[in-house]
Amino acid sequence: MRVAPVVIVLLVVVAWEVTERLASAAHPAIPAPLTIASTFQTSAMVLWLNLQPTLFEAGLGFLYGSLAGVGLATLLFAWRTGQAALFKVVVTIHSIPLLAVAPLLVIWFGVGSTPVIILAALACFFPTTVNVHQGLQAVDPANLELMRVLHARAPAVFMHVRLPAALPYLLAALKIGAPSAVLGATIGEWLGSRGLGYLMFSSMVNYQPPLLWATMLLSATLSVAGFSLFQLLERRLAGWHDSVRATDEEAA
Amino acid sequence: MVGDQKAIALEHVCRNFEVENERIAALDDISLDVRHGEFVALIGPSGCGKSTLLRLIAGLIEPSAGRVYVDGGTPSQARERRLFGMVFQDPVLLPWRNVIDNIRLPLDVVDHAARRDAEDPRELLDLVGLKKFERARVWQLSGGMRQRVAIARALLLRPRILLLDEPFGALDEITRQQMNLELLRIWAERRTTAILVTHSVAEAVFLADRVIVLSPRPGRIASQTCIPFDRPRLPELLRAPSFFEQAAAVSAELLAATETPI
Repeated sequence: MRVAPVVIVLLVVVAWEVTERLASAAHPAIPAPLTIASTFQTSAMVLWLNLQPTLFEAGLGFLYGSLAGVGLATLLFAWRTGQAALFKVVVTIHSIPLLAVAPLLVIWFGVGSTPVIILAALACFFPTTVNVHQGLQAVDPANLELMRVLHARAPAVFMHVRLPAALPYLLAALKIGAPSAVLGATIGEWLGSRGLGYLMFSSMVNYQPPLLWATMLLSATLSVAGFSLFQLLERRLAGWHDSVRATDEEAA
Repeated sequence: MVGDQKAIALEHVCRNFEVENERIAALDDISLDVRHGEFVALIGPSGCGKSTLLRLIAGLIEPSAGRVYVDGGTPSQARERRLFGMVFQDPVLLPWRNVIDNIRLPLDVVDHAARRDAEDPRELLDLVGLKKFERARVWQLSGGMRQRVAIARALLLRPRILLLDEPFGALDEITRQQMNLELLRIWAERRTTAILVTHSVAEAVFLADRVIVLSPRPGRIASQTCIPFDRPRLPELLRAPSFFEQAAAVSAELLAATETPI
């Protein structure tokens, strides 16, 4: 069962390669898979040098965005009176297109890492905010009643009951957030002078379709790697959660 | 002094609920004294306010009228003194904690003073017969085993009053009987006051010193029956003719209370 997706991808790639070779006037904007593969070799240095800033900026933006998400979720949870207003602010910030914010950030902070990191953070904080907020409330009411009967201290209840209950929600959000942070960083780099986003932009301007494709694949790989990392962590740390256990049993 | 004092005293307690702007009386004029060390069973039809009564005693809700005393003070003072141990129908264990850490949970959430008097979680594990399952995960346990964990957790801070809200309601008949015997053994060792809410006449008669029958909404005390059987009560009692007589008497009270005069 698990072989099927790999086989399908392979078939598509082979068909693509064959079509490119048979077609007399293959479109240069759609390079053959082997051409792209060789680009990885010939442009290895360029790709590597531009991967580093993206990795750094997306990683840091992801960290800040996720921390902001957890913080906002806690604030939303704890501050009942301001909850509705704060949530509207959060949704509004999330609704502003990254492409509109990017030039503004460059004007404010200048070309460099800072606007890119902020864009990555903006791209990924929302799912974490919403999910963790939901997770903090995903506690059996009977459990909270038990805590009241025990005259438990509120901070301890938060630490030992609410936060662990929110962990699967957090990890699910981070899984979505990691690729979003990569996307946010690449958008920011369009306006910069380095990074995978910059490389995409420059290969468009310089008309280098194979390099553009290679960069695209590299950035996709980065996103998938981020997703997989948190999927792994989810199985490790939240294996007790029904949703995680259900998928594991399906896979087994 | 202490001997005179009641473990629990309810004086003309009423409790109303607002449902869609309509006031519904859940409990009406309940007066009840429970002695220290007494085992009282509350029985009645669904929706007669049995659980509400338990929650009033625990101070989780306030009475609409009347007074509730626990060990001479208010329910919230009793909670501050950690007098209560509570077991619900659902064991409400934390799935990310293993068995022993679930029993230990109260230690993580209360202050130092309460922690000092706590029992050894391992001894409690042994008491409820789960010694081999110390590190087991919650989902690996059967319903009966989970409820044992909940009972051990309820005993951790040495409560003087056990509040049992249909603790075995979700279990099958055989497991339920086993759990009843376990509960009696544990209760005999600890000598706590116990209030048990149940649907089962047999369970009430087998476990309790006194069975209180509540009428349907609004819940009133319809009858009280003292159960004369000696302790320790052994499984043989469940087959004794005197047991059936008592159970039949309580069933008759329950039926009489449930029938609504037209």
